[in-house]
Amino acid sequence: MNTKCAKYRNLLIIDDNERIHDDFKKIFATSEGNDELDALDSEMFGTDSNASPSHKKLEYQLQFASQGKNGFEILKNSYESDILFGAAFVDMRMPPGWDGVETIENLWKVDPDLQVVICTAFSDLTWSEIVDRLGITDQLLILKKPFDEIEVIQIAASLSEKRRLLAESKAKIQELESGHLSHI
Amino acid sequence: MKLPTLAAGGDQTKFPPRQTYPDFFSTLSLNVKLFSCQKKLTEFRNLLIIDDNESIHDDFRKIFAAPIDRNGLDELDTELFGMGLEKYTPIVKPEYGLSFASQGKEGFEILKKSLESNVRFGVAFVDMRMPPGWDGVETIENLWKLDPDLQIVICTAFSDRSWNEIIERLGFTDQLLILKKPFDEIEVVQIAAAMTNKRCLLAESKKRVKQLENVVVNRNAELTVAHKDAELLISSISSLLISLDENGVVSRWNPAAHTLLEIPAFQAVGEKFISLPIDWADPVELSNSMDECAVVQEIRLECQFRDRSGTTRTLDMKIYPVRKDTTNNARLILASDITTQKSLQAQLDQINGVRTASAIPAVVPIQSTPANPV
Repeated sequence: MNTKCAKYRNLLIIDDNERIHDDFKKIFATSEGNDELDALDSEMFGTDSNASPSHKKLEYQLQFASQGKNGFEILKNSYESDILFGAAFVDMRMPPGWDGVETIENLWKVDPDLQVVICTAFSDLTWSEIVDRLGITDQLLILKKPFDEIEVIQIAASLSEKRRLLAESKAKIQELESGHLSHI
Repeated sequence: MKLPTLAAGGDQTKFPPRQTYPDFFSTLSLNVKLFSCQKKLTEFRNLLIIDDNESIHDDFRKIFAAPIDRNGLDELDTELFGMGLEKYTPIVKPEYGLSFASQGKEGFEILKKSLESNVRFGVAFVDMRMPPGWDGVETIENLWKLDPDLQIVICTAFSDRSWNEIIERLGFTDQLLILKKPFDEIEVVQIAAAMTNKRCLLAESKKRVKQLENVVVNRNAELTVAHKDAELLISSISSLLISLDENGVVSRWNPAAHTLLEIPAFQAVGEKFISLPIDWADPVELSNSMDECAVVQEIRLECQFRDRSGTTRTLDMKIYPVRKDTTNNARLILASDITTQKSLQAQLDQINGVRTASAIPAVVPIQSTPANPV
């Protein structure tokens, strides 16, 4: 299912907390092809291979940044070499640099179709605050810390697919605009 | 702030009453243009909330209670009630139609009816535990039976432990998000916006696939007709038409070829053309022409063969390479029998020849006579 969205199975994680990076690495560490590794894990460390529904997971490429500006550079470089991200997970507070909103503003300058997830431990974030700074957008989700594995997995799957559909839709519009419909 | 109690289940509240204003206000026709959204997108701006907890219904009503353009309203507010503009943040929230159910089955019925009436839900928010009826997973399974593209949000106070079972039962899907209780307004608003839009993109995509399928089906039908026409033409022409594949093996042999070369199609097809039992006058020239035509694109030659009755027949033959590639031996051969023409021509030439011959000697002898004195 959805093998076509493989192109957008890249996630960008921007968080000043290294442990969050580790969480993401752990969450997306196992994938369909890693049954042998799982078995080895259980053998070596006695981990219960049933602890996570690993066989349901998709494979994602992960990129990490500890600062907003850092993440922005990664996105810019990838964008130039035609690697697109399905979603970016952005921490809200990353002193001393850009905060989450400023980071997102900059990410969208590079890739306006990027789907963004704000990761925050603060529930004081109000909708009007976000809208004031980022405008009304359907490309933003909120992920509250601490988060569960399943939340992240489902967000990644859902947004990657959305990104693929969006790209497909835009390509179609472009095709229509340039009048190339005749040779479908 | 007490919200008006709405009958739980199936109530479509497009414009929830705004509690801060007198009742008559909600009866005003407020057909406010929202931020530029396609008609399609609004089509899916309906949310189905399935939760046995009525206070969750109220939360959703509150969250989506101010769906109208504050700018226009505020002016009206000021006029009517003399309130200051600065009291409100000029925010335009997308508008959603909300439907509520307290039990999974009830939600299922709402979705079923909506599909019949052309109201499309973008997202369903489903509670995990709703005793005594279906649980969240069973509800979702049933919702997807009705509408496989429905985006679902599981609302739960669950911890990680039970997720394996849930995912096992629902299978891998990109149409599922998790919303943990207690949730914030912003989480719900953003999920609604993101998933409604995704649903819309999905519908567009499926529509395109359908259109493409139709195009393919139509084209195939056209091609079949064209193919039949071509077949009819090929079988009815008086010229011989032979196709050879890349190995020089006959792949097409029309009735005229059968008549002329006296080999039926079933014997010719599958055989190398050059080794067919035809008594060519100059098989080497024919073979060379076959090779040569890949370079020059088209060869025209007259070639002769002896038919079964021993008569020499002449073909006016054209050989075309199917691809301009010397390693590829696919050819198209067109030929017509010019034996009769040839013999007529020969007879004509002969007559002319006799005439000329008789004319020349008539002159020559006269001229030559004096040169040859006896």
